[in-house]
Amino acid sequence: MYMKIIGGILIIVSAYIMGVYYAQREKLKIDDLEEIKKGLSIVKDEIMFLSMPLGDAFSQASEKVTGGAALVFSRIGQGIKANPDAAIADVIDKTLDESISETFLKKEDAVDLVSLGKTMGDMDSDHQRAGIDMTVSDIDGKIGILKKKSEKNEKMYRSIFVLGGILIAVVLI
Amino acid sequence: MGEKTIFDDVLGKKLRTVLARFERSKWEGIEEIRIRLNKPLRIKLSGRSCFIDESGLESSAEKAFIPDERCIYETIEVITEHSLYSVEEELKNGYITAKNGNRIGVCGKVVWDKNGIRTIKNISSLNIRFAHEIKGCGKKASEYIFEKRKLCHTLIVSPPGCGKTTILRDIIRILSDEWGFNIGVCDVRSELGGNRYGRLDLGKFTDVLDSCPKALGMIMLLRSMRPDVIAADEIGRKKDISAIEEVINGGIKLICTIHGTDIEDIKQKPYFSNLLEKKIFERFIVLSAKEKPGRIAGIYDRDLNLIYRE
Repeated sequence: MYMKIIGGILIIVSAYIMGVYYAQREKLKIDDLEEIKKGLSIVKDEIMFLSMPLGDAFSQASEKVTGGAALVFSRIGQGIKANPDAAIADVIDKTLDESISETFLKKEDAVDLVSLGKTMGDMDSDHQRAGIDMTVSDIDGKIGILKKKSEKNEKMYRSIFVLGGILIAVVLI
Repeated sequence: MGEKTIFDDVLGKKLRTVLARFERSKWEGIEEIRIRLNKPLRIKLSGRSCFIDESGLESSAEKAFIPDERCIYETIEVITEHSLYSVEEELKNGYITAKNGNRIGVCGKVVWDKNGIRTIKNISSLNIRFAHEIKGCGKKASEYIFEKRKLCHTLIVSPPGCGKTTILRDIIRILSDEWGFNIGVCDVRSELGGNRYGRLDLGKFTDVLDSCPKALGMIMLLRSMRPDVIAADEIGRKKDISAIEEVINGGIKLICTIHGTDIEDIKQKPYFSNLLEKKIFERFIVLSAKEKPGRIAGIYDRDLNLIYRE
């Protein structure tokens, strides 16, 4: 009997942990978007104050952000420098295809970067700043939606998994 | 990825493909590439101009390769590394400095506002001038810029395209590496020292103030770095002359270049005759492109007596 109770408790605790993990995934997604936002602000500063070429600006930003975003920025920087004939948007698109799995994001979450790439490079610094500001504002919007979704889903995931765990435990006992 | 060529950092894909077909043994002799929208592609090769066709061969103007808008756009993208904003200030002055000190002159539609030139758009012409680093080309000249083992204030006089920047760069290197002078270089267009992506050798004891206006830069170097020698390229404006006087009063030796065909020519330059009358410069190195760029047409002392001719 003791074994059954211990087994049941283990199932419920595991289900709770899975619930927390699922709820946390949304938060980690938000963290990645926050880091991308931070990286873009750094790219903007490098452009505005140091007139740094895009490839170097992304590489510099990659050193100051964390998580998967650092890898994405670093690969975009390398891609721009290594492919002088390629369009910036294509480099970003290819990088996202290759590296998005290293983050908690899906490609559609970071597609704003590709749109930004289409406006980058052949404009003056004021237009570059405006383009980055617009992208940051779009990301802010996404973060806002995700935060609301996360708050709502956090309780839901925990409840569903705990209830699911209890159900499995009862059935097994 | 193909083999690296001298055109990689200055030409777009299409033009690079055309020029890469040009006879490799002659690449070193290419001084300029002139790209004009819908006009024949022309290069300056060892002092003479010629047209290049799509196969990379010398041709007549009629058969030459004709660059289109795409060629110019691609080239600008490569030169600016997709970052036109990073060369905004240079573009206002009609040029862009690419890697390794190569300078690209730009023409197109100038955009004005109340603060002056904002930018150049609809770019229609590019003149790519390759910076040449020829170690040893300043050796002969450097032997004549000393008097009783003391370095002289020296002015290099040369028409455009005769190698004054190349000779100045080598003299700086020689004075730094072989004589141990601390040299401050005021490099307005990153032509002497190159930019951070490609450095040209200016010697071990040389400090470079890059992309700084000459007059301001010379004073900054004088006050901050206290060098033995200050070097600057293409002086001639009123502000430069006052800076030169301040540098010389500070006990620093000066090596500069100026546009001019000969000594008589620079005597005619506004603001400059006063410096000549005061005999501030102790050596004049006059260059000429006759026979080959960088030929020393004459080295003169402060009294304008000829002391050497090649």
